Amino acid sequence: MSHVEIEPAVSQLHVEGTAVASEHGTLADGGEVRGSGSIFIQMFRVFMQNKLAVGACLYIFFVVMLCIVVPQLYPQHYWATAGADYGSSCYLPIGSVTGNPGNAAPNAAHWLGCTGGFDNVGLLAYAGRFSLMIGLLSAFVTMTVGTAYGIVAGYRGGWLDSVLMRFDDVFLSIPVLYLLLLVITIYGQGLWSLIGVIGFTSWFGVARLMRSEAQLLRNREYAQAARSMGATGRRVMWRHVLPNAVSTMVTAGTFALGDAVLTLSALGFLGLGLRPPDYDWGTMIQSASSGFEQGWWWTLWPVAFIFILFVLSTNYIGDALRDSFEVRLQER
Amino acid sequence: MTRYLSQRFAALFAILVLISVGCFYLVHLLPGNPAASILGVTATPQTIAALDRQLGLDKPIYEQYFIWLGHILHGNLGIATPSRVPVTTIIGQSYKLDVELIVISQFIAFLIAIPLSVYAARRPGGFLDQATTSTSFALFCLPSFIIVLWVVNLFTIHWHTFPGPGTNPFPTGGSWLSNIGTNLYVMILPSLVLAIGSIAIYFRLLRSEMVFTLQEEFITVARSKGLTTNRILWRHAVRPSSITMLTSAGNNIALLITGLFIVEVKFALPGLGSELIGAIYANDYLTIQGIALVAAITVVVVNFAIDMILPLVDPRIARA
Repeated sequence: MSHVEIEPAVSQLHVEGTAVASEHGTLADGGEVRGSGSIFIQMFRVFMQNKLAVGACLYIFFVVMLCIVVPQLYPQHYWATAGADYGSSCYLPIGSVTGNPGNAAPNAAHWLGCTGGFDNVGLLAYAGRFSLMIGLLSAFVTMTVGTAYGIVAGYRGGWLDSVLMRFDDVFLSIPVLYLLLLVITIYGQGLWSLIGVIGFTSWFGVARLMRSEAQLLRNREYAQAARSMGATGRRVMWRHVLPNAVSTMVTAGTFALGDAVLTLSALGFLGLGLRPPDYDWGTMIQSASSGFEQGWWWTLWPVAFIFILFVLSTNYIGDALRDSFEVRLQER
Repeated sequence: MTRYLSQRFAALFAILVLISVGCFYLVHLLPGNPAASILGVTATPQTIAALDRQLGLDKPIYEQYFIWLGHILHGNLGIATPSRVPVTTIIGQSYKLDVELIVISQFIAFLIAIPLSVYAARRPGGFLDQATTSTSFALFCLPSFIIVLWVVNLFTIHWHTFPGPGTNPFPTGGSWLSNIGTNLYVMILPSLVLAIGSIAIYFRLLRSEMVFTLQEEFITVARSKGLTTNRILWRHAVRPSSITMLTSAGNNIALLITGLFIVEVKFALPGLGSELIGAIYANDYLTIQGIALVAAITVVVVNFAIDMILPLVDPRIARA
């Protein structure tokens, strides 16, 4: 959801994450890791020592593979008519039927049961495609807009910085979901409009982060050297400041991905996510909620499990990335 | 102190002006002509032009803004399109509910988070600390829309401990005492769901600050004076540690308003969130505008109030 409000607490988590890492001898004064190999190998080594983050990477790889492969295993017409047949009879043979014809408990043919006539494994992977795609692309929009805005404000400084940051303050003071709902009213609930809407309403925190990064980097020796050789402000910003801010961007981007998937699901829960035949995990959770109250636990648990673990994984990976970039910060 | 106050007031004023411009301009961003959508299918170019003139939509945009601002300052937010009810009436009813939800949830959050974090910080790495820290991490990561499904299922459908979704939180029959009782009984479960995220955030912030504070020298002095552990924890350590938590409570209000939507939708409570979603489905621009304005002002004013409280908790802030 909104990245910035969570920030203090998240950064608290990082503090503890680092503490745990140093208990395992990972980051003890940075002394132990400063061994052989290039800086990237050192960073990789620090990252690999964080077992939780490695597990999270494997999990995300598993989910991505699931989303790519599984829908291919289902007959094509099944997906073409998904949504049109929602809630009525379905194309797949369903075992024991309870109440609604489309809802069956997990059995040998359908490992995770069926919801509204659809096999849960297939539906999870199909919805995952949309969730991951929207998450990735809107995180990309968030990072692009936030980075450009933050670097300009931080590098230029002065009145431009003050004005840009006051606007950022105002946006930050508006609850993000309000902003989202308002923009959705204007642009609708399609795939591309959701990507734009989520992307353009979540960059305020990133802008703030990148601003402080640019303020730090513009006074480095290489930036001063470039300026003294006559480079324009634009060149220094995009050729010298931006590449050196990549570590911050990657970390922030990982959190942005998790936040975007979370936001999309919250919208789906409120009935403002994708419309059938398009599906995302939020829409699945929303359609599961009525069945769940009738005791159909399999409609909610698989999607809740896969989705919470995904968001959790992005947070773990972000933490680990931050730790491994610390190595580089010490070199700088 | 005067300088601190005047700075805060100037910032408050600037942000309020920007918010008002934003909310005003918002309606102009929306697709379609407001007059056409108010009149609906029966609109003709003549009636649209007449209504434009009546609403002042034919004037230049900056003039419209000041006219609108004048209306707002007189407490006139316009009349909702479908129901023909003044927007202020709609907002007034739902706002009451939201304020109650937020107040109860924050009360619960502080009541749980403060003692837990104080005792967890007493022995960092001890059993209580590890148990509470990992629990709070789990709570922090659970999205409220999944918690709410589990909680409703468990407490209203399985155990019938609390009234189910859709119970009226403001009953009119019965004595005032029983009305309040019913009200609290209905509100306790939604508030609890809303509080869970806050508990996790407050616990983490206060705990880590407490761990730092307890290593300071004045704590050693207090200990060598022979004060009891409880007195040191509660009288000496909590106050200087609570600044981060209080500041985050201000930021948290925006997050809570997001949580309100989810809770209101699931418990079918008539708050601002349900009203906004209804207004969005009905293309009711004035209600959307009014709710956005009220929500943004609430966030800003709460943050301002916390800025005012901070120097009382820690006088060093105003001097810096």
